[in-house]
Amino acid sequence: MAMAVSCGAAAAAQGATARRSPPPKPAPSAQPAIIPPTAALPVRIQIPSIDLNTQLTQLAVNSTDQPSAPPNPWVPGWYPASPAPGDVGPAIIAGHLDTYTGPAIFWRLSQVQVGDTILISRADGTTITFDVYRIQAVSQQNFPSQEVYGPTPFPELRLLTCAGTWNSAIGKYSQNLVVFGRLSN
Amino acid sequence: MQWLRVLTVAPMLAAVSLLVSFAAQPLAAGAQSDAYVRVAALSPDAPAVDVYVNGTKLVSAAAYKSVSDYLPVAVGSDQFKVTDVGSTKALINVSETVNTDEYYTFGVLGPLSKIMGEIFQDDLGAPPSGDAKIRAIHAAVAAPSPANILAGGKPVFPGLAFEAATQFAAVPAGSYTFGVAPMNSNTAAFSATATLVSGDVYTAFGIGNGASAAYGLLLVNDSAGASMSGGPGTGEGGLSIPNHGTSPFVPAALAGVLLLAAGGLGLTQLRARAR
Repeated sequence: MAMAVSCGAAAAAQGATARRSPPPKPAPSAQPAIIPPTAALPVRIQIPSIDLNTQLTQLAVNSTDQPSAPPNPWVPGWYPASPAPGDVGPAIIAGHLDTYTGPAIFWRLSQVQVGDTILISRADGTTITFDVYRIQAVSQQNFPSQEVYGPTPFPELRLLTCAGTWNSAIGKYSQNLVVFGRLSN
Repeated sequence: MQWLRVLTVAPMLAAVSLLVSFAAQPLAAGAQSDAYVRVAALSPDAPAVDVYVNGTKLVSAAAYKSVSDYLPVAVGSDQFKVTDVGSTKALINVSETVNTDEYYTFGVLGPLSKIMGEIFQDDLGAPPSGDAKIRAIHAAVAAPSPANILAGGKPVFPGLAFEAATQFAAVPAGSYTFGVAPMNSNTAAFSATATLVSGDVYTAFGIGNGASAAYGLLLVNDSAGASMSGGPGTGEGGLSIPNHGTSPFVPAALAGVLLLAAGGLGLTQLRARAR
């Protein structure tokens, strides 16, 4: 059936909204839509192939949706601006490659291989497993946001850290390493 | 006039959506020759069901109002069989054709006395920037049919029959009040509020039977993204140029040590005074 949006008047559109924003205040006769239960929040990550097992924190994005770096180089974090691991869409987790003086929590992330598993433990005591299906270094300057953060129909996971060459002048690496995972069936 | 804006640019958006859908195809992680089907259990008075495809169980114990993840199935003509949990007797036995790398929703619909399976093709191409994408599926037993689907009190999907689906439409992200009304009426039999996130694709199922199961709107993400842009700065160069500067974490750690030391000293002094 063809879509026919012929009637004009605006619904109560309020522009872009943050993920996990509070539900709209219902009109007197309207109930909030029924939303399937969302996944419990992630609290820990394990990558057995590189002997990584550590807690997770939560990370913010700024007013232009740019992700902040984890404040602690040994504690990676999940962004609530992304779906929780296990919900439909890409859950985004970032961790440091290094500090000023040496390695940090994700310094071995480049050793992860396609087929490896990533375990995410959640606040409700459950653990879910993601299978790595792709590993790619991408430019930080021309970061492929749609490719990394764009919509997916499956529960997926992205692990991000730095890669490439260090530029002392600007204090940045040239690339990000992205590990793509999908919820194991 | 957000909906009017959608109407005005609809042909353009359709073309753009087509282009974007190629660019934003999900990064396939499964086998190359699969189609993907999720099961929506929406018969309000039916028990939980098992769903089999070609004799292999696809979904177990799907309860009313549940929608599974997308799961891979063989491309071509597939036999969908729906049973009570643990039973071999078919409530539904229907053949459906699915195509490579396409996505579908298999709805278990209707009252138990007339339960049926219906497959709907899903369009997961990304909406234009700033928009969400949504379609409606009418699974509300004994509700108006054909129905006038309203947004903000105005019809947006007129003529939606029971057990049928609308096409997907791009709409500005934001909060809406959706209603289900009889044709040629703007008075909703039931309505629900929902917030749509930019970039996400949704299906809104009208569900219930108005008696044992209340009418309502079940809003499900067909696909979802992260509201993020650009990569994080997760390096400080120590692996490339060891000890090339002073980490902000070192002063923080030192401060912590000093605080602990000071605390310990203070405690020692307190103990000394107490003696």
